[in-house]
Amino acid sequence: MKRTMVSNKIWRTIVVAGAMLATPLAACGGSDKKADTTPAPAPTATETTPPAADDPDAKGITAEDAAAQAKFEEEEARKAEEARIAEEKAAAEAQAAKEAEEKAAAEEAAKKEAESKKARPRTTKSRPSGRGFILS
Amino acid sequence: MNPDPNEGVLGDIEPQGRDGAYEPTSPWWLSGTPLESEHHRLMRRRTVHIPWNETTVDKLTEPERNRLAATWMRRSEAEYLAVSTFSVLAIDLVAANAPADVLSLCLRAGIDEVRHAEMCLRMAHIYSGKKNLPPPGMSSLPDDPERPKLHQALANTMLVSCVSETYATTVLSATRDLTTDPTALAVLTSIYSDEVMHARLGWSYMRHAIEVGGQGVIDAAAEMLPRALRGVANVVERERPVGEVTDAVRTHGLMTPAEERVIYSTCVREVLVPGFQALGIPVGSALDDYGDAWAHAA
Repeated sequence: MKRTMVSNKIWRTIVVAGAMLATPLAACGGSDKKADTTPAPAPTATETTPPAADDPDAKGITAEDAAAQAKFEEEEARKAEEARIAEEKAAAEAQAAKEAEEKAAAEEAAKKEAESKKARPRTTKSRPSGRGFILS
Repeated sequence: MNPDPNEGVLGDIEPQGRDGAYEPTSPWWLSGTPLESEHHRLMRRRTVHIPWNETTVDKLTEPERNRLAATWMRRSEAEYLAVSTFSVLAIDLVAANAPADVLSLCLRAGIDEVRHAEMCLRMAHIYSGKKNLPPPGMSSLPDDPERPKLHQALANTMLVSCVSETYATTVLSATRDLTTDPTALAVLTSIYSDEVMHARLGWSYMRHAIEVGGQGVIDAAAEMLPRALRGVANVVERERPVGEVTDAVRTHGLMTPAEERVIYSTCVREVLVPGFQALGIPVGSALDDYGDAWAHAA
């Protein structure tokens, strides 16, 4: 659209700058703007897979070495099991927290909805009077 | 670095500066209490220096002075009402849990309007010699308790800021181009520089509200748009003070009502409608309602 000089100035300095038109709107007319205040998801559990066990015979290692290796693997298995239990516990707690948050949000929304239906103190007229700089 | 969007538009305005040569603008409108010094501190901020003594009023005829006095008095009344407009809007924004920057700028806009009312009173005094006060009154904004507060705040922001203040900047900008009287030019420039931010406030809040509220906000905005456009059109169509707008009067900051209609129609077509469309808000019959037929109906 070709604009007059005045319109172009107003368009650029007020509408484009104010509404950030250079930045596209999110799909469907909006997105949930919570990124800065929503806690980041919990980091994933550290990789606990034990190092691959080589074949002791192939490397000519001793029985003591094999016993030590077995003990090591047993220890690693125990740690893995503990980690799995901890993960399951954390997941269960997260799920419970999420359900509690959703419940609280639903209650808050219901409260706000009820609040919005209360009469407000200021009076009103049905027709807006507008506000414009009176020119002449 | 991004270019300053105001470069070349706001001229030599120092937004956060102070006017070292500030003098009380309309001292007859003050309380006579110690509050006055704090008031002056507020008024010194964000202002363009007004060369009150450089007025060329003595080159005007008496009818021309009367015409200008009446218009500047009306302007003071409009600016005075705008103080309550932004106050009521602030209530709606607080109720809708608006962000802090939106709230602070809305409340500052109310203070700006006090300064504008003072300047317009002083201009009326220059042309009439009378130290009048704006009549008491309160702005009326639509209030629908049945709708969500976000929609209420968005709708009134659209009316007050996006439509009214954006139009005000358009008409002020065009008027400044005609004005040569140094005092009138500085007053119009000072008001204009504030109105830019008052208007931008609305477009920014609308963007924010759409991001937060999605389609419901867009629907509320679309419902409000015809009422907002009509509200400002009511002001444009209003009867004007008696008296001819001569060439000399024009140099003191006036246009004819017919010229103002064309400016509003142009603003709707070239600024408001494209802006709302860019945000995904349906504009209905706005272009037809305020097209050439309306622009030239006066």
